[in-house]
Amino acid sequence: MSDTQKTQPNSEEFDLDAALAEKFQEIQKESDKLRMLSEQSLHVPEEALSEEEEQIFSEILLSDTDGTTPQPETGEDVLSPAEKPTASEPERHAGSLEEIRARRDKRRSMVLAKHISAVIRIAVVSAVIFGGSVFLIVGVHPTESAEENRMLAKFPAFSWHAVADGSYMADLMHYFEDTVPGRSFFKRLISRMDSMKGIRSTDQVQFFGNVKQIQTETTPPAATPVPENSITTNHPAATPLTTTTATTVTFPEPEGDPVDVGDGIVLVGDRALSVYGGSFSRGESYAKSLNRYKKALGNDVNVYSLVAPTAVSFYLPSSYAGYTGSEPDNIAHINENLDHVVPVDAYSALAAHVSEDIYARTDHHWLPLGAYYAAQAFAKTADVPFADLSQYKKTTKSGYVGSMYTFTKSAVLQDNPEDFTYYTPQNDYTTEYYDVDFTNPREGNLMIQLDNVEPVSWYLVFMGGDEKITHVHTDCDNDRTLVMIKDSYGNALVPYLTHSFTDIYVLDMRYFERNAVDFIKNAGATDVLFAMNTFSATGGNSEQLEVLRKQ
Amino acid sequence: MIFSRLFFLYLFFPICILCYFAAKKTSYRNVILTVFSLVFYAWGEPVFLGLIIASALANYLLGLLADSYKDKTLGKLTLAVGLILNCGLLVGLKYTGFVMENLNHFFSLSLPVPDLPLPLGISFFTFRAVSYLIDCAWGKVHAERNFLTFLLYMSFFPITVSGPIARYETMQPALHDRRVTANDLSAGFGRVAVGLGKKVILADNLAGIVDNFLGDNITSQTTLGVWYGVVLFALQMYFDFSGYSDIAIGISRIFGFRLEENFRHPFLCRDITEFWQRWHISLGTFFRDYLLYVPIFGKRRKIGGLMLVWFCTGLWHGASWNYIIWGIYYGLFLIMETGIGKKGMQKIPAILRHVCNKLIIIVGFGIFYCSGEDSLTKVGDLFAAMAGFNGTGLTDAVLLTSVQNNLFLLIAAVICCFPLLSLPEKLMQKSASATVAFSVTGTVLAGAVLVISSILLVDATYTPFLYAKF
Repeated sequence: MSDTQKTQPNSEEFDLDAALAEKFQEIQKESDKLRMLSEQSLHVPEEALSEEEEQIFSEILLSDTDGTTPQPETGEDVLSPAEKPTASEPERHAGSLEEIRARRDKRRSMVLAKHISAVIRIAVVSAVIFGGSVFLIVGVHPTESAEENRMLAKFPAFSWHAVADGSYMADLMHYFEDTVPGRSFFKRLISRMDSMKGIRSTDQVQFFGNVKQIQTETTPPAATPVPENSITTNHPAATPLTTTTATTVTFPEPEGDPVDVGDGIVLVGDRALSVYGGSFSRGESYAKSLNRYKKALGNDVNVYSLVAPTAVSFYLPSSYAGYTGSEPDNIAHINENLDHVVPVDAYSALAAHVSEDIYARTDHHWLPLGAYYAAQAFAKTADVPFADLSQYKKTTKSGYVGSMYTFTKSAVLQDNPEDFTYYTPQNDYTTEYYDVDFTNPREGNLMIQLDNVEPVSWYLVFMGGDEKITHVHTDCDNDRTLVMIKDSYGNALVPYLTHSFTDIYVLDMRYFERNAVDFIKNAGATDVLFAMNTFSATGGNSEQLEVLRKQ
Repeated sequence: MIFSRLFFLYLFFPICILCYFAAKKTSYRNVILTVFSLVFYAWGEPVFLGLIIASALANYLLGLLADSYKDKTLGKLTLAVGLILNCGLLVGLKYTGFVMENLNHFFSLSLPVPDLPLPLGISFFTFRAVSYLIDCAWGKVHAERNFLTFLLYMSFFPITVSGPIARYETMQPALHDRRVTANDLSAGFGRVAVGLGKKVILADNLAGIVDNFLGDNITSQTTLGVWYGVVLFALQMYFDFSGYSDIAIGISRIFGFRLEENFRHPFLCRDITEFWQRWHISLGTFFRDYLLYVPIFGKRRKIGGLMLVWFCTGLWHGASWNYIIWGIYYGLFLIMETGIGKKGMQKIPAILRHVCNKLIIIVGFGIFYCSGEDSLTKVGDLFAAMAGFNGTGLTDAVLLTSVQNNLFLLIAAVICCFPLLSLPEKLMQKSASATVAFSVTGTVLAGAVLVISSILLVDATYTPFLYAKF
């Protein structure tokens, strides 16, 4: 005990305490006698409390409400001066006795109430924690996540080395947390919770991730010509090329890591749009890379560049135009820098059909119909035959909620699924798949079955994904061979080109492991198409083209 | 390992509880807690396990010497050695790179800049060790004779990562003998749920908004957008840090340790002095008790001591100039308030005091945010943006949309800055039925918060990266 705590109270207080304590003892004796005579008047008989319980209850009673240090009990706690009896001695004793009895009853019931409350809390919280433990250990751990389009963590292999460097523990923790039983259900629940953070409705714009106003101080380098065959639509955001007002979007060079470009998403009603940062310098690098391919391949091989715009070019209201860079301006800048590489004007082809379902609302890809119009523009540019959509088998699947839901966790998207309609070519063709190093050939279907595929992954219908090389041999007899170097946007073009080329080789620039120039030459290509969206062409993916050319 | 992980909450923690309560004697329980504390510490960085054990051993021996020879030269020498060892370890690992960088920058040198790994919780366990040695040397406590008990004090997992900086004086009785009552368990579990809710439901959600509005966006953000980001950052920091403290205090209580409060609703303060009596209390009291009155400033020790304390407070938070500026910034305001005096402060209308100190605190958190490389530039950018020099206007659609989309979260965050539990706690004392009613309601809420927080943690392992999907 510290010195300050040892300090004695002043004499007046001391006397009062002593007197009260003495009085209390007298009354206590009287009370005990009465209790013996009339036990039924007590709510809680003393015998009901064991020694241990009394001790526990005392501790509960002595501790204050917020659980800090217990306060010592004083005489004033039992009988305060305000409660000092004022009646005659017998009346005073009787009145005091009743009061004390009532106080003691109340005190006992409070102790009991606190104890019961504590036990209930312990039971409930323990049930949650230990129940959660059992659930986490015994529950079935999923191995992949359809909505995230990835394999989940695997149980780590034990090794002393991994324990020593901490990776085993980190991986073990990651395994349990990444494969929580019922993960998909909980993810959907999180989306619901997320929508409850504020006021959200389907008729308003929402922002996700890093969305910022593009500065309007700089001027686009050189002229920003309208692409050939540009079609002006009535949609406000589809006409940025001719806009010269304060909302004109110009293009400061991204100062940070280019992979930050397009980090944000704008939800306009029930349509999610990924905002585009844009980069002229990266677009120039992309164009120069294609020029090098052209130079390496010579005049016998036609090289085309199809840079596909994304939905933000067509569906972002003009009042929000300041939050995205201009895809058509970036595409135009790329085209300006191409040397003997032929640009394909996909932008104009798509702009003519903005009222149709050319882009997914809930996914970052275009829809197969949008790819059809872009493929048509390419066929026209390459001067190859092209089949009308009526010659394809149309399949529509309902309930499509794509990747934008994964990114935003928006209940608006979850509640408003869309249709996914794809077109299967009906002419004769065979499809052969290879590993990314062009080994291990095996036959397969160009369009995969979606029956057992989660809706979020329905875009995989084209060749089943990206990590492979695809060779399609068709009944087209023009003896032209196309090598397509693409990102995932390019996948959707392939079915529409089965009427246009005798052979089609499709390789993904992110996964291909051979030298691309050698591959093109060995394939006997007459045409090479670089097909990707603006994010790839002016982002980090374009650098991969140089890797492919040199590796 | 940190508390707000499913692995901790549903595997490590319950297993620890089961093992702990399977033992009856305090000595066995100490062994169990020590083992779990070391496992907790080693989970992410086993390489530093040796460091904390060695530090505990060294401080254990130094403590015995300091206690045995207090008021003697050997005792003072022991204390000096202990302080040099502990502070040297902290400074060496945490600040060497920072010092080298600045020497290179200001004197055009090319000294090598070491990239030293920082052991988990080094700032906290170093201060615990320092307080222990000083208390031994000053005779406030007797040195711990049992090394295992001392190792538990040094490595006690609830307070290893983020405090509070619990003194040996506070923990000593429980380290040797403790009983866990139903009330301890109940209060502890309740506190854990509250802390987890603060961290996962409030702080983590606020962090996402803060990142969008400050992040690397400060120079292109609107004026109100930056203010919005900074205000939310202040709230995020409060709920994050106080949430961790709540969990630490709650877990400690479950094991029978009663720690002192680390936060007492700091945003209710009437002046900056009071803010620091309510914010990270264990750090403030550490500096007050061990540094403020160090007689190295002669007659000017009050001002000198204050500036030293706040320089150290800033630096303690990290090796970055913005933290130092942040510390000095608060130091200046505290000196100003000291100059005005208590009576002078009371003459200022309460509303004006509240507005002024909130403004100071918010700007302070803005400075705090600008850590890392080029922190001085970031601080400059932030001030320019807050003053409206970005040229991006007062507000924009993103800000308005964010406020609308997160309105309930923001209201909840502001409400939770107030002492919400004090009224129910008072009402609970009125009758047994009120006690049961309020307590059961609290239990239901605690269970709900625990479940909701746990569900939200399911999403913590996957941060989608949009660009990679193209």
